[in-house]
Amino acid sequence: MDKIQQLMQPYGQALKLRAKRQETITSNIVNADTPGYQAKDMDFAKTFQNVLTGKNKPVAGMVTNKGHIPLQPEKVNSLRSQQVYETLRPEQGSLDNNTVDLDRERGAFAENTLKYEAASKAMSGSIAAMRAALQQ
Amino acid sequence: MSTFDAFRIAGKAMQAQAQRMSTIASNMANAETVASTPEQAYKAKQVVFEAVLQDAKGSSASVRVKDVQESKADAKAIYNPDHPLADDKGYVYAPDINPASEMVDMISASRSYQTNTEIMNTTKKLMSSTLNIGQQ
Repeated sequence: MDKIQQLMQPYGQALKLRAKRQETITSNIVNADTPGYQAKDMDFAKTFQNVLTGKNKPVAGMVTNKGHIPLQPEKVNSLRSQQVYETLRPEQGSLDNNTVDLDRERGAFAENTLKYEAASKAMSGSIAAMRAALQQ
Repeated sequence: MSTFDAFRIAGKAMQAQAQRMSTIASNMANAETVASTPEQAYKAKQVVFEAVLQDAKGSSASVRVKDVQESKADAKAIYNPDHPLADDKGYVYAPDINPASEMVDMISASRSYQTNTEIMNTTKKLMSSTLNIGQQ
């Protein structure tokens, strides 16, 4: 991987993870009325740490017989195994076992939106810096 | 796995909430409809939501209407012997619908629908800002 790709990769991964977390928060919000639904959220710090350090990457499967087909880690979406989700405990109980707290989800949605924009601005800033360096 | 999935999740949820609103409207419209026998009386309908998993890990889910259930409450017997549909004892049978609780349900459904619209708008803004990464 060349130097420029290496530089840009964390920004891209952060954006992808923020988008994935946005999906999870959206799922919680739309399922606020679904009986029995358990609200989840991504532990962004742990997930991003996994992705930056390459922890929990999928590994090639072991084969015990020559006829078996091994797992091909390059084809697996590696970000999926590195994502850490936690089930949220509800502040109040509810008759239909739905654990979604709409106020918390709205706050999380706004926060994640802001952080997504921040990550995309950071990426733009890094591109602008490279462009400035090229123009020297 | 992309932020466009948030559009799909919110879109499906809007469909579910719209169905919920039309069920409530149907109940409100038929609150005064009477019949000659308790079996023929209108039965209040209610939607039951169900989460629809969007991926194997269960970290994102949309919502759909699993079932439209009919109320098992007994029809209200109203003594009105002059009514053309009155049975031989002078009773007509009306559904056991409480307009106040139907209105509360309607308000909740329309708030959920509005929240889904806001989610779509925010996601659209994020996509626009993503398209602008690196632009001077």
